[in-house]
Amino acid sequence: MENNLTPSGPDDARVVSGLLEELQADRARLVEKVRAPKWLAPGFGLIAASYVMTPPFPGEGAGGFVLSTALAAGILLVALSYRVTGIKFTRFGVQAWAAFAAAVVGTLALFSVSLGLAASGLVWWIAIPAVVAFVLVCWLASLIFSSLRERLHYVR
Amino acid sequence: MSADGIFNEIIHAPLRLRICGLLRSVDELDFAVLRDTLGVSDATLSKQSKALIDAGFVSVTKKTSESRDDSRRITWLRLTATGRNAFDEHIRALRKISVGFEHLDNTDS
Repeated sequence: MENNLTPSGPDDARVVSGLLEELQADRARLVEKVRAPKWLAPGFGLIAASYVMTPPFPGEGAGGFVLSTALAAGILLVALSYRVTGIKFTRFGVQAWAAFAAAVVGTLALFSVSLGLAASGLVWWIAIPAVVAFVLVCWLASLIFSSLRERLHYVR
Repeated sequence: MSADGIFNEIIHAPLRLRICGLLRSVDELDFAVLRDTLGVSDATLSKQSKALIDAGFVSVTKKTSESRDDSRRITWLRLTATGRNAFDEHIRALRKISVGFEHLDNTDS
């Protein structure tokens, strides 16, 4: 049923209030439906962990290869999550950007720890910063998704 | 941008308003997700979407899906820049009407 009349009186204004409430209800329903794919956060965690593990790899181009593969895998994960959820989110909010920055800085810090361990010959100890990178990025990726999901409520 | 907003007859039809409201909160939305969230049939959503597409408020992109073994495609809908502006203006106009009503209610009581 359509109503194309321009509201002009209090009764129409009541209808308008109802319409605005319905918009909020629709968004709440959409937020309720959106679930992050189970593999998304662990996927980003694995990418970070694999990057942190690169220092002991032989060959000069190993680090660059792992980094470019990790970036490609990250883009692939985002594209797949769009297909699975059926939603392409708008821009990041402050919280999502902060979590993203924390993930990058944290991974780079753990990578430098790995470099130090590799230089000291403690190759097996690199497993520790790798596991920490996995857990950290996994958690931050979940946080970013939750933040994007919550923003669905508030964008206009 | 108008302070009072601009009422838009095309967007104001209830289902079209709801379509725009959902599309305004995302970059793009899958047709199926939009249909399920609104709780309407494919045909109804297609008809209302077409009116918005014809008005230049919504654009459509179709992409193949590897998860489907038939020739169906994922249909992504998004508000165009014109659509976003028109929707924002329309919402501003609706809020003004709504606030005016609340003010009248308070005066009465």
